[in-house]
Amino acid sequence: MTTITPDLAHSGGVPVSAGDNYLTHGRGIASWIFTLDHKRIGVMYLVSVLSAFFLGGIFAMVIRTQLINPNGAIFTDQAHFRYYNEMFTLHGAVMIFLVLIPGIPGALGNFVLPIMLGAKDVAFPRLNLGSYYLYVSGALLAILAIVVGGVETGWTFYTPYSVTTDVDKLGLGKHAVEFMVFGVFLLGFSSIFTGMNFIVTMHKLRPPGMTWFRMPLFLWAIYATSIIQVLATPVLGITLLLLIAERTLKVGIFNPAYGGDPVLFQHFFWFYSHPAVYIMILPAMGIMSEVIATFSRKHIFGYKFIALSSIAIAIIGFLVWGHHMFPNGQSTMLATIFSFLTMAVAIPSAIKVWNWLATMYRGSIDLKTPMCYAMGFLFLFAIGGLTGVFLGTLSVDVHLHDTYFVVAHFHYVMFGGTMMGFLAGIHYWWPKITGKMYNETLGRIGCVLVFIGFNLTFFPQFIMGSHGMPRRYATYLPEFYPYHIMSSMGAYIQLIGFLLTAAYLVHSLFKGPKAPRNPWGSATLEWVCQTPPPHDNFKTPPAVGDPYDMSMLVWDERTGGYVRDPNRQPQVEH
Amino acid sequence: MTAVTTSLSQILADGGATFWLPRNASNLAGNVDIAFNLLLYICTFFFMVIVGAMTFFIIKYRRKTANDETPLITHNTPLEILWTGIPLVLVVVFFFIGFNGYMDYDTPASNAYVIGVEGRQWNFAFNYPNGGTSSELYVPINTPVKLSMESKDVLHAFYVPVFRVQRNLIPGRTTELWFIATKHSPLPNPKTNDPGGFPVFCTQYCGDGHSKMTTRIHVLDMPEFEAKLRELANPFKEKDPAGKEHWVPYAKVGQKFATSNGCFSCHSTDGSKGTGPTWKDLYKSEVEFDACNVPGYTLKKTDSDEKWDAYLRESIIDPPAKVVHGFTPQMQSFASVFAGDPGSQKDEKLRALITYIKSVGSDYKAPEENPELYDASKTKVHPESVAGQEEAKKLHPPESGETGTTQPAPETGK
Repeated sequence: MTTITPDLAHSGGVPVSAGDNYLTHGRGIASWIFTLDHKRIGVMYLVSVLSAFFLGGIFAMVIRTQLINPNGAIFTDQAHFRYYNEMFTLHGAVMIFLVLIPGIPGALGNFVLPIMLGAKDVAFPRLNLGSYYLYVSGALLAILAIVVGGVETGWTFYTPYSVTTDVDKLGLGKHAVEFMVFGVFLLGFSSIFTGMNFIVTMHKLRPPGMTWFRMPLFLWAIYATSIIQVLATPVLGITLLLLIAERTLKVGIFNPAYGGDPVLFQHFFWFYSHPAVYIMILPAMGIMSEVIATFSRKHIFGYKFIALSSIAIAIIGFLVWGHHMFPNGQSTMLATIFSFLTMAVAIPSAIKVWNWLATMYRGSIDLKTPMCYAMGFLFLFAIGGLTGVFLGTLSVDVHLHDTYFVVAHFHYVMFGGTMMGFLAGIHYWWPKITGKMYNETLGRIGCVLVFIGFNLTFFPQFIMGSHGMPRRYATYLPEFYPYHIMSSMGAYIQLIGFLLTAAYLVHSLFKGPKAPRNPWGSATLEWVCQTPPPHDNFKTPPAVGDPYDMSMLVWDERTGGYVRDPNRQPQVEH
Repeated sequence: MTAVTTSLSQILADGGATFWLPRNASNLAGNVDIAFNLLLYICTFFFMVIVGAMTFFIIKYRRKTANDETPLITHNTPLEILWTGIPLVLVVVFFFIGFNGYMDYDTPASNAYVIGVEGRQWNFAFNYPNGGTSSELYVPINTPVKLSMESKDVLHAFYVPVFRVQRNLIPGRTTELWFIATKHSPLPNPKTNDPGGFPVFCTQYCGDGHSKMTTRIHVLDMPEFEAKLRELANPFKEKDPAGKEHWVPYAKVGQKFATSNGCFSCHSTDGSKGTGPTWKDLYKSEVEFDACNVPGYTLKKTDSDEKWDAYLRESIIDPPAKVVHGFTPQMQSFASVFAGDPGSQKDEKLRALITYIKSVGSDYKAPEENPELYDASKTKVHPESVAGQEEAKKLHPPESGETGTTQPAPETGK
């Protein structure tokens, strides 16, 4: 193998961001809003997604505050429960459609995918900018829906409630549901275009030497994600258009009053929305593979099993949607088949977990902030995944369906999995994106606060759920009071953790020390690239080696990062 | 953790509540609990393995220097096969256990006693084969019961945690849920405001009052159940403590119907604003309409009793016809409960309900006793209850024993 010799590595610690980089390449607002640079688009996504996360977090705090009192602490009578229903609807819709689905692919995927691949940009830069503006348009429509009347259908928009609610309101308020649904439709197309772009990029723009099995596992995860985005999202799009048609034109599709079938909507909706769960979790799993290998300073274990398990999840994930409907009026035959396939999808996830653990075995484990989040992921995703088996078991699901057990389960997967992975990724690539280092101690404290707060919030929800506490209740029976109190306290601890995290990250932008080229000692190509990366990433296609062979990288005290030792030979020969 | 490890033995011992599960009170609950606990033990074991290995590795292999050398271990195929195979075998076992329980849940006993359930925003109404109706469910112990459920508006779900069963109510379809209650429910205690019974929840989100769409299920011995059914079927008569039957004033009967049909989930009687207009001082007040099916229609204090009666009647049978200012047409028609020919039981029920509505507030004095005393035994029975009875008879011929007596006639004259 030829050597990777970034010129600066030999020059012994010249400040790394001396030259032009993507942040300084053009100046002024117009250079951002019309940019075709995948890195700037990634940064714009990151800012938008984190703003949406803040908004969704506020809704969550209102929900948890309401439930401090069994009779409701904020909305105390039925005339006001509507506002509580709006809160959980918006919390769900914002977190899923504006944060979890576009978060990792849109922000981190956009930024690092081409660099990891060794390419100058994605295959279709204009389409990429178009995706971003579709995302923004969808988000603005959702906010418009909130402003004109609020939406209280639940994020699942189940018919016939979603077809009949608010249609008799006056003015724009009666169209709030249409605005929200059309916003989600646009977000779907943003997602489809991003997925297409990434698939083409990975097929067509790999430089010489970057074979499929030399791609970092994050790219495999994004590839699997993109397949789902492209194939499943159109079904959501058409379903939402049918919903709008039914509301405005009174065409009978889902509403039995017009001769439609409400269960059909559930099939259509979950045909997208269950694979969407894998759109959310797969990229986070990709980040896990990068972070665990890097901070164990050891080659990833079972590369091909991890890579192909992502593809397996993407394929099997298409065939399990019916497990959302075991007691909802689907046939016994279907329920049986879906239960079996749901069990099958647990296997590739388990394979990943074992391989990550095996990667840590005999490694050199450094609990830097990204690794703390990765360990949080392992702990929480283990609980989230295993409780998924409870819900896939038919008879047990009949008891647990639509209770807080389900709420706890999907928060352990979506928050404990996707958000912990996202946060690991943000901290892992933060030096590369911003060129600045954050405060490591505060990073770890923030992670621990979020972890403790999360468990305190959601673990009691398993117990109250298995005791029968239903979802989406504005009030509850007094016997569930102790669990709800714990849960709400946990939410406030999380809030403190997130405020701390936001504070030190913003602080690092202004006061943080300059980041070295490769602070963690990772062997993937984005760390070969300058920090922050220049406008077109690589002047010439970089030499490609094994993405997890870290043995040639040694600590350099002067730059505070890792550099390549020309005297060491790669461990892995391809 | 102690609570976790003792839960299975507790369930097997007395069916009481455990750390993880509420008490277990139906024939279907045992299978669910065994599956749940098996999953709990095996999943806890795997969780311990994952987190244990993780913690051990973090401590044992913590970084000593920035340039630590680590061995090159890229893969191990037998290990991969092992840790794919073991979970695969386990999930297949879970699948079969769950499948087994689900088939029990999905296959009602052929001799089940049928009770009709109607879901509306936001209450359940139960219709018994003898024509009785109630807002809380009464079932006999150790007897298969099948709920034949339908929704009048949006999706609802009927969920009984202690029975470990739930099923959606879907507009335009009839869904079924069956169980055998195996434990008596707690008795109501008016002193502590304890409603008694086991809790029932609507678990499918259905709008503003979703969290108030709860009720109780009372499991009674067969004789008590039969007595309850007779009482429910003839709300116009009541026994005093001495055992003597007498007529109940219409306003009081109407109040019972308002309760059993869930009117109070939207209409208050104390003047507070709900999803629908309050009933306090409604009768002979000034009403403004946002929508009205008759052009130029007005309703005033000074309007006649007949006009007011007609308005109240229409608002129950065809609620969207006239929409009071400041409200939206949320209410579904109650025609299936109250619309009938003059003199029929349904029509009498409607009269009673209207009498009650008129009596809420100070302007109207309901007559203590209605001059035209209504005798339920002389009238037609609820058409649905005839259908229900026939269905129940088909499923469970009277000659087969004790459950035959659970379908008493509407008026027993005892």
